[in-house]
Amino acid sequence: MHRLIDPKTIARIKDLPLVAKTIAEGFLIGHQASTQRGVGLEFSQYRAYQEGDELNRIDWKLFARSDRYYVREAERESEIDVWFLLDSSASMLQHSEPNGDVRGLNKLEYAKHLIASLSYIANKQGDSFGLVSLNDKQFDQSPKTKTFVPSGKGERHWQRLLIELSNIKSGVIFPKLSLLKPIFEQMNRPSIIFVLSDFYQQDNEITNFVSKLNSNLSEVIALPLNTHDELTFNYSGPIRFKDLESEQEILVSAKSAKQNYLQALSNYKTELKQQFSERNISHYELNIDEPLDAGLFAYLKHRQRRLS
Amino acid sequence: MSAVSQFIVSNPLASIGFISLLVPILIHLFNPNRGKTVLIGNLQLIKKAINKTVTEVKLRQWLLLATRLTFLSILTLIIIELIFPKTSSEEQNQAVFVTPAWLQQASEQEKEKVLSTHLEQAIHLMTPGFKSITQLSKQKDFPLDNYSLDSLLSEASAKHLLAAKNTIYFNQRTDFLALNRNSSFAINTKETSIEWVQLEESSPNNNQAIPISVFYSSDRAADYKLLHLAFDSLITTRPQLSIRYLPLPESSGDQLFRQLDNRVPEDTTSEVFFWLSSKPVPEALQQKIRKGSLLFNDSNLVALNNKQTHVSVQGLDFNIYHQLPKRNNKDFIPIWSSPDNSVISFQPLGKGRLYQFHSRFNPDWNNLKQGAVLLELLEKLLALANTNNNVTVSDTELLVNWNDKPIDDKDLSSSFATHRNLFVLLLMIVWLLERVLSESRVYNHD
Repeated sequence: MHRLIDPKTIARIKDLPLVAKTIAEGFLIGHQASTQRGVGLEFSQYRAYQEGDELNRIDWKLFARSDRYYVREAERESEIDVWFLLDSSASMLQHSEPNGDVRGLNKLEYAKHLIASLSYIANKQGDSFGLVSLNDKQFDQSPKTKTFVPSGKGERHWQRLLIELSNIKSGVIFPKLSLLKPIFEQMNRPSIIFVLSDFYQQDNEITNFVSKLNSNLSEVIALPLNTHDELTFNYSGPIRFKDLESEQEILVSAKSAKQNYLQALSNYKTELKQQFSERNISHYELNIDEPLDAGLFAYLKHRQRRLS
Repeated sequence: MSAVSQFIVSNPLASIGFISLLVPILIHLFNPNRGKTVLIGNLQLIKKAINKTVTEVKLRQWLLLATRLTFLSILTLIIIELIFPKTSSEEQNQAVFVTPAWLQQASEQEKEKVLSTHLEQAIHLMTPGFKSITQLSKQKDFPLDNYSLDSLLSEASAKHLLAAKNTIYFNQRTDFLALNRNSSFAINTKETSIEWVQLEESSPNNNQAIPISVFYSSDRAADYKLLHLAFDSLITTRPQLSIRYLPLPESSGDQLFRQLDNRVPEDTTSEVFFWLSSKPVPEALQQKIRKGSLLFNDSNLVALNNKQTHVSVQGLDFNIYHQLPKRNNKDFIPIWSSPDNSVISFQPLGKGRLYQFHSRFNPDWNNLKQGAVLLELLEKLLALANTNNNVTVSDTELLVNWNDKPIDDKDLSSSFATHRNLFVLLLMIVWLLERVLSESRVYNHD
C-alpha cells in the first residue's frame, strides 16, 4: 500500500528533489483527490482505476464500452495558493538521541523534507505554492539571509523552492509579529497555509501569528513537530538539559522528573490543541522519528477524512 | 603505623587494590556523563517537571562515589584474602615456644599431648625425641643435601642441640629440620614452618640458654617481624640466662631485613644461614655464600671459644673480633650500631655477604628494657621451668595463642578472615546499592 522510508535513510540522501518525489508519488495515485471538483476543470486524460479512487470519478460510459474501469483525469487552473511557513528558530534543531552512530533528522531537516514532498504534490496538482522561513535573522537588514519564495507554479518554480529550502539556516528565535506584516500582505488570495513548527513559544507568539493568518480566504494547517525523545522522555541518570534558544542549562535527575515532565507535556499539548480549535485551525501532530512518508500518508488520510 | 597502613605495606596487592580506588574518584571528578547534555527546544516543560534539586542530584553522585569506593575496598580485601590466605589466617601466626628446661622436665606423655594437640591447629612444637615425628636421615628432599651433616653433627656437643638448617629462604616454602646427635627430624608443615635454632654449650653451667626461635611463613611481612624477634633473641641470649636486653628499637629488625633485601640481588637464590658455632665454616656453606647466600655469624661465640681474631679457611676469610668492630673499621659496614660499636655489621664475601653480629652481653646495656613480647613470654616460661618441676601442658598452652603485638596487620586480616562471609554479603549489598544509584544510561527507542 505504501512504502515506509526511514527518515534516517533519507537523511543520507542529499538529493532533496529525488527524496520528495520518492515520498510523494506514493500518495499521488488514488489518495489525493482534488478538493475542487467541477469548476475550472478541463478533461485531460483517462487513467486506469486505482484502489482508493472515488467511484463517482469513474467514467461509467467508458466502462460500458470497454468493460474496464477508467477514471477521468482533469487539469485544472487552481485558484489556491499553497504556502509553507517554516519555523526556523534554533529550537527546531532539536533531535532525538543518536541511536548508535546514526543521528536522525532534526525538526528543521524533517520539515524541509516534508515541505519538499508537499510542494511536489501541490506542483503535480497544478497549485501555486510559496515558502517563508521564519526566524529573527530572517527579518534583519541583510536581504541575503532572507528566505522568501513567492507564490508560483510549475516545475521550475518547484526547483527554485527546493534550492531555497535547502539553503535555509536556523536563526535563534521566532520573529516578532510586527515584522511578519509583509507576509500577511502576500496572502491575499485563497490559500492553504502549512505552518511547520515545534510550537514552543514564550507568549503564544506562534499561535497568535497563525490565528492572524486564518481567515475566510485561507485555511491554516498547523503541523507541530515532535521528537520521539520529547514525547517519551526516555532518559535516565542525571541529564543536563540545554535550551537551544536561550542556551540556559538545567541539571535534572531524569528518572524523577519523567512523570512530571510527561504531565506538563500533556497539559501543554492540551492547551495548544484548545488554542487551535478556538481559532478554528486544523492541526496534525507529527513525530519526526517516524518514517516521513508514513507521517505524510497518515496526515493526508486524516485530511481526506476531514474534508469528505 | 596504623593497622590498615601496615596491612597495605605488607601486601603489595593491597596497594594495587587501594590504588584502584582512584578510578571512581577520577570518574567522579571528570565524568563526562555526569549531567549528560541534551539539547532541547523548550526548557519550560523541564522546569515545570523538576522535583529534585541539583543538590539532590549531586548528593546522589556523592553517594554513588561512596558506594563504589566501599565496593572496591571490600573487593580488594576479599581478593587479597583469597590469594594470600596465610596472611589472614589466625592460626598462621600461632607459635609454641618451649624451653630446654621444659623439655628436660616434661614427661614424654606431656610432650606427645602437646604435639598432637597443636599439630591439629597447624602449630608445631619442636623437640628432639618426639616419637611421632617422622624420622629423617638425609632424605632426597632434604634442603641441605650439599651440606655436610656430619660436620654439623660433630659439633653437636650439647645435650639438646637443635641446629637449624638454612634459616630462611626468601619467598620459598621452607621445611624444618631438627638435628641432634642421634637423629634428625624434618617436619613438612602445611603452610608454615617454625624453626628453632638453638645452641647449647657443652658446659653444664651454660645449658639454660634461651632458644632462638624463628617462626616464619612464606609471608614476607611475618618474616620481618620474626627475624626481628630472632635478632632480639640472638643478641640477648648469651652467655647468661639472666634476661637483660639490648634495647633494639622496634623497627630495627625491619630495617635490617630491608637492608638485606636491598643487598641481595634478585636473581640469586639467596639463602640465609646462621652459623652459631666456633668451628670453621664448612666448605659447602662457603660455596653457597660465595654464590650469593648470606651467612650470619656470631663473632663473639667464635672469639670466646677460639680466642682467634682471624679465621681463614680455603680462602674464605673471617675477621673475628673479640670486641665489637669499631665503627671506623672499613672491613665491616655497620648495619645497626650501638653508640660506639657495630652490633650487626656486614662484609662482602664473593657474591654473598657475611653478617656478623655480636652476641656478647654488654654490662652497659643491663638496665635497658627490651619490649618484645617474645622475650617476656620466654622469661615467663623459664620462670615456670625453674620453679616448677612439673610444668604442665596447660602452662605451655598459655603460649599457644601468643600474639605478637607488633604485627599490627594480624588483627585486621584475622578479623577479616573470621567475617569473610559477612564481607561477601556486604559486597553484594553495596553492589546492589551502586546499581540502584547509578541508573544505567540506556536510551530506548521503541
